[in-house]
Amino acid sequence: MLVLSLACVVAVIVMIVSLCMPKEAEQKSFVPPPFDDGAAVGEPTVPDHLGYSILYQEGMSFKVGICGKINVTNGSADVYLTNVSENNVWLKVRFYDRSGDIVGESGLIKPGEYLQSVTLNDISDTDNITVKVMSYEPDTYKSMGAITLNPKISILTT
Amino acid sequence: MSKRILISIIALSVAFVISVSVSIWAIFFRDRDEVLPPDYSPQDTDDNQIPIPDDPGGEIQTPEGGSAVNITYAENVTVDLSDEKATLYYANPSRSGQNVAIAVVVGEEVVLRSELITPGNMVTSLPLADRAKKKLTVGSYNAEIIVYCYHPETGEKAMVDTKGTVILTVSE
Amino acid sequence: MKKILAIALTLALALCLAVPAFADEATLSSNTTLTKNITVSGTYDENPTGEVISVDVSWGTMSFTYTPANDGTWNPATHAYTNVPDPVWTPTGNTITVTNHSNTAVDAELSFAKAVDTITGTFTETSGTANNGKLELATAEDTEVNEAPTATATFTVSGSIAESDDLGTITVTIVNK
Repeated sequence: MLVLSLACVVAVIVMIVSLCMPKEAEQKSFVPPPFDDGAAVGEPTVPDHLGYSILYQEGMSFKVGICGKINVTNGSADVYLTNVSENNVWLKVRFYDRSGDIVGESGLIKPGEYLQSVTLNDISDTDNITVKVMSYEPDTYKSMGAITLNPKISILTT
Repeated sequence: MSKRILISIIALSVAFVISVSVSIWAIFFRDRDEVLPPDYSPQDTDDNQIPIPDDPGGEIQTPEGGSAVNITYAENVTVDLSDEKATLYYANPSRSGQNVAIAVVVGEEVVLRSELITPGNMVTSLPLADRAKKKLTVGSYNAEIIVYCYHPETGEKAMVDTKGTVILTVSE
Repeated sequence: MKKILAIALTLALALCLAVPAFADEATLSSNTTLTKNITVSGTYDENPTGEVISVDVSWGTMSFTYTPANDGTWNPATHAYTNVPDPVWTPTGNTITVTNHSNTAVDAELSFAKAVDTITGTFTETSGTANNGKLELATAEDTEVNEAPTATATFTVSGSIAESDDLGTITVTIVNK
């Protein structure tokens, strides 16, 4: 009886301590982003009305082609993300909503490749979608800079 | 055994089992805060960095959503070809909000490049880049020091670079 | 009894684990004094590192939202847009501030290269120096830390492109005068 009482007291103390212990956030280590299965070699043929252009300025570590007007059909956003062949970086694109949550992102594409579409989660507020093009140093996956864009996004119904 | 003692034993046993169960859940199965994995490969801090003595600390006034960095460097950089090292002074005071990596270039040729120098640290000696060991000869060069800034948490490179002019003196 | 033996054994093991430190020199007796003459030499270099430049550079989010020229009101009677606004870049966080903490005057030269040919980036100095893409900063000698010479430029964009961008790398080049 005495032993059981002591064991019970110890168990209760351990329970209180473990409940009061701060939750340790699970540390996640860096995982290299995968390459996008939808990447195609070459340069895309983009409809004129999508405002496609190659962005570059002195000091940037890459040139990138992307549409200024992005149409979303059945959750698929036509971006025509192009990693110009003379680049020495890998690129990917990410979409953020108003609250900064990721609503879609591509895999990596190599120099000389392009990606026509990126799958997005359900988006309704197209006015506050931000697009970020992120560049990586090949093999090391170190950041080579990123640019943020505010394109015009339109949801098309089929 | 009296009924009272029996009830006490049962109550204590139940309390014991509940306490142990709750403890096991709290230690092993409780939901942890969701942490997103990093976007970029972590970069190494430079092995040659040393703490800045008498760092005054403080903060640089930073616009909302923006960043700030203090650039402190000496104009003279000396290179000893026999040692394959450069002697220089670059400090990233603790009031900077960014990690930095520096490069010294002569034209297009990279003489040296550091790993990350974190706030509160400085470098006074860095190894030469491999190509520079063969390309540099005794004499003086007009060179540039380029400072690349990286977000201390995400590792993302900032889109504002800073350059300064330095005099590179090379000896055997 | 068993416990006492266990404790004694534990203590004995602990003592065995202690590692004595051996001096690599001969043991000194309390009456021995070691002295060594060390020659100190040095050279005086008036300015071994040259000037030390120290500047704070701060920048905002550098975000721009582009409103293209073809937004306006569709007039079904004329099949044309009316009240078409001019294309405009609305900046957010487009200020670059450079503060000089050096013991020499410096210029901070601001440069920006176009993302596409149809736009132009401009720095407008807002701190009283001539508007020439160069922030001129006096020496910080004889000033308090919180009163160090500061200059600010605002970065704006004009022109039009088919999409709106945050613009990429701006370079601040520090030049010792």
